[in-house]
Amino acid sequence: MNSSLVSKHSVIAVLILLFVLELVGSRLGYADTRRCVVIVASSDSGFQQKTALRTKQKIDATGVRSKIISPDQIAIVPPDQQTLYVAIGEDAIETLDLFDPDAMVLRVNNAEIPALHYSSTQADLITSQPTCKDLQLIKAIDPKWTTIGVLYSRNSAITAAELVGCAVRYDLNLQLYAITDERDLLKSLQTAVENNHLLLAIVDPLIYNSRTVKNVLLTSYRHRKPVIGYSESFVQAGAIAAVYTSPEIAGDDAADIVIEFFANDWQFRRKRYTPSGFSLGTNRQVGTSLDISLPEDEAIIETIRRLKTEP
Amino acid sequence: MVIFRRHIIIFVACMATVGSTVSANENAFSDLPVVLSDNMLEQPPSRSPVAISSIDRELIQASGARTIPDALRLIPGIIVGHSINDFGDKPLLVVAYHGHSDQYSRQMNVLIDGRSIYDPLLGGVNWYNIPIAIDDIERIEVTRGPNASTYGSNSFQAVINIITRHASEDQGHFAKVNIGNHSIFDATYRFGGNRDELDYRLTLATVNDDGQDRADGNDANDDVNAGLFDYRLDYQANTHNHITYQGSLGRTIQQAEAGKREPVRPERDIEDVNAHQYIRWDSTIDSEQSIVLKYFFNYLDETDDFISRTIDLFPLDAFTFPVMQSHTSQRHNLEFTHFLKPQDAIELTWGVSAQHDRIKSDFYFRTKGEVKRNTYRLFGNATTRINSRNTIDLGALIEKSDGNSADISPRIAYLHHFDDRHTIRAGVSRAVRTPFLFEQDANVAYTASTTIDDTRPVELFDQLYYPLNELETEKITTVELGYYGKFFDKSMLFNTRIFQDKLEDLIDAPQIDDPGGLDNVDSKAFVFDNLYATTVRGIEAEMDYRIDRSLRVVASGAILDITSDDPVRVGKSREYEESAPDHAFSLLTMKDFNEKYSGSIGFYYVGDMAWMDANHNNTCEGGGTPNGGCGFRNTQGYKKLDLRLVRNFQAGDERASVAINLQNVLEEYNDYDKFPSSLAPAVEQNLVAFIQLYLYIH
Repeated sequence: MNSSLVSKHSVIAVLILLFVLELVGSRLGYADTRRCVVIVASSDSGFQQKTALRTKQKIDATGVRSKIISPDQIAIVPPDQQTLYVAIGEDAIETLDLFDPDAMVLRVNNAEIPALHYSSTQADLITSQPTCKDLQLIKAIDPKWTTIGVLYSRNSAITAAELVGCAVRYDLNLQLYAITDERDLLKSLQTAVENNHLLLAIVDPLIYNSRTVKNVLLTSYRHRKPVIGYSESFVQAGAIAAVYTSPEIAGDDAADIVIEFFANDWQFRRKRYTPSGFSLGTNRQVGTSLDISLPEDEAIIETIRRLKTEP
Repeated sequence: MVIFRRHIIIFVACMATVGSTVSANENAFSDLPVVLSDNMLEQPPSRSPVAISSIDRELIQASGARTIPDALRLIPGIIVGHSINDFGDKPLLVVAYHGHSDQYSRQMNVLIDGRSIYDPLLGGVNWYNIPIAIDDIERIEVTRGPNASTYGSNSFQAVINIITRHASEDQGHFAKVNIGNHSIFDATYRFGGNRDELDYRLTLATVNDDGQDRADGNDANDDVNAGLFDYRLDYQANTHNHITYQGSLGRTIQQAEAGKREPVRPERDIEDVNAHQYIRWDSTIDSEQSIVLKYFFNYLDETDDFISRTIDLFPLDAFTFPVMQSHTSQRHNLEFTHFLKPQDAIELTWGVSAQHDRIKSDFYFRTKGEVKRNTYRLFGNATTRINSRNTIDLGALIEKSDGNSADISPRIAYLHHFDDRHTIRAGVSRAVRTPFLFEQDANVAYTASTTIDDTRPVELFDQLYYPLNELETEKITTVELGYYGKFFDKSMLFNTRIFQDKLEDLIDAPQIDDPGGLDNVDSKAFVFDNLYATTVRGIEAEMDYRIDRSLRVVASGAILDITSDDPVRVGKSREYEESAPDHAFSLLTMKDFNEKYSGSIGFYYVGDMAWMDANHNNTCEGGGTPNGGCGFRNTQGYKKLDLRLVRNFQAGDERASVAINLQNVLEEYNDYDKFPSSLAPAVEQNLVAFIQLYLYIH
């Protein structure tokens, strides 16, 4: 047998085999072993878990390997120079930062955490909705609601300041009440609900937590005033409505950013990302009990979108 | 326009640079407890299938009410009376809706946070005895008409549901003192606190006064001294489960007059000790379902034992005898309710309950000593939104008590919403009232031993009540047409209803020849039986107008016509017809003058009427003159004017108020005259003046 002919056939056979393997492998979703995404989420928050699952589902569909771990497992998972972390929630973010400040990470959180490293391989997805959206929601529900009470502390001072600017734009009367200690809460709360059409809750654990929320909602309800919340669970608790980022939107956005990261030569295009959409929650039973005619959800969403584009 | 913009931005910027010591992220991700759940939310009157009136805290305070019945005068169709009389009965505050009531007001259900508190022995409520301080009340909801499928049987002519405040709403210290004439001295101290997921409230209160005065100016023997301790704990177990635990212990001492138109009862003190335990578990399963499981235990121990007055009846030698009227009663109740919303347009509620009543009394149940009754209920409601303007509401209760056949109480209502301001309602409902244990099983007799000429022994037996008949339930069928509207940019709420109630098998106790055959005193006894039927027609209206932030006007009125056709017992028919005033109305105006001063004026008018246990002079059949006896309504119409002025103080976190209250300013009147003398009532309501001091410390 002619040896050159055998070699030529062998090379062609190997190439065909590789081509077939590549074809079959891609159809089988053969994972790209070079890319690995580790999603770190605390186990005690439903939102974080749902966001993590959604992120994983979308990433897995692209053929990239991913897994979900808890913050205390970070040290157990062997570090890998090809690993991109998606850290969801403050606990996960801070634990990872302590473990490896230079890790490639997309931080998913409701607010920026100061004093952390930033580089081209680190970015934030801030899941809280733009501040003005709450005021758009208020105008969409009832244009007659023109006076708004807002409780704030040092934790939410920036948000409160942003709200001031938005209020001017929408011709709303914002009354801010500073809370320096939880003991101030009840008195300021009563003043806020007595003197305004509604209470707008902004993210602030000193003011709104699983214990104080009872007092807030009951006091507002007693004064027949609605509360605009900032999350789905707040609406379930008794706020009349809220715009928020659902776990589905947060998870999809995180996955899209990860996919873009890999496509962009392993670099984030931006340091800070914001949600691509919003979800609306309404509590119609609370609305009925307060004798408030809530428009249909679709109408509220449409109005919010229109207000966003108006000058 | 934004207030304080520049200053706030500078201040906020400074605060922001300090940095966050607490995670700003925590709450957006954490689950929060469900606070405003289905069964806590107040149903707006425009969506209710029945007529509901609501008295909120502001109204309770502005009315100057020291007791709950004082506040209930604001409800159309409700009348209030002080039942001291010449028969030696315990003085009672009586609340009745559409008449048909003696001092025990059996045709109304009264609940506190869904727990029924009517007396299983005699029916009715001793309002001096209820285990709640008026300052702990969030609101009082009165259902005007039968509503058995929601509140159980005995929700006959009306239901009064007193809703207390959640423990988290009353944090810190609160104290109140009332001091005034008629020896008024009331005091309340409340402390509220919390620890982690537990909120709690403890209240100590006392209510004291010397009651009414006699027409001759002397004090009537109807003093009240009441004290209570009650508590409420609200525990949020997790985001979906909430537990409420309440309890109380109270003691009331009331003076009772000596019987002047009967020879037995002396002047005496009657002591009531009452207690209750109540635990309730609310669980939100998901956004479409929640359940409630609750258990309560009510306990009452009444001490009313005495030696009769000396009875001197020729030829008997003068004698006395012991009367042991004391009794204890217990009620246990377990109830499960399921709320669900299978679709957006349908809301369902269903539930089951079991109740055990037990009363021990050798006096009221002479041969048995103790009576028990078990009652089982199955209930359900369905509300269907046909479209955005039309709603149908269906409800039903099936109840079975020992010794009675099962009764069904259905309800149907149709609501049409013209828009979010105007609603009309048409409804038909039926309810039953199960006879109280006293009506069903009362066997009461006086027994005494004496002699004739100090030699011949005589044993006396006077049968007072005898259990002869198997009683049926009383029945009511109501047809109504209602309207609810909001005017002036929703600052004025107005509702009205026209209605017809048909009441059947009404229970009464005529005096007949003693069926037991043992009575050797007068050979007569009272025997309960289902005897009467009436028709009540009328119109009621309410208005609540918040003219501006500082001025609120609340008004109500009722016009009633009661007819009863009984060809045999014409006199009794007239008693029913006269048992409610033809006209009654109320007007309460509240004004905040500035931060320091506020005030209110309350005006009430009640027309002529006669309570069912008043002496109507039954010998007048079909005739008589207004002033001479027959057709004479014992409780003459009256006007009541109350004034209140408040001065508020504030120092840091502490708030205080001082209020001056003047009640019955216009005239003296009697609101419950059981047996009129020829010229003047036995007792009267006259000027009541008291000062209230409030202190809040957080």
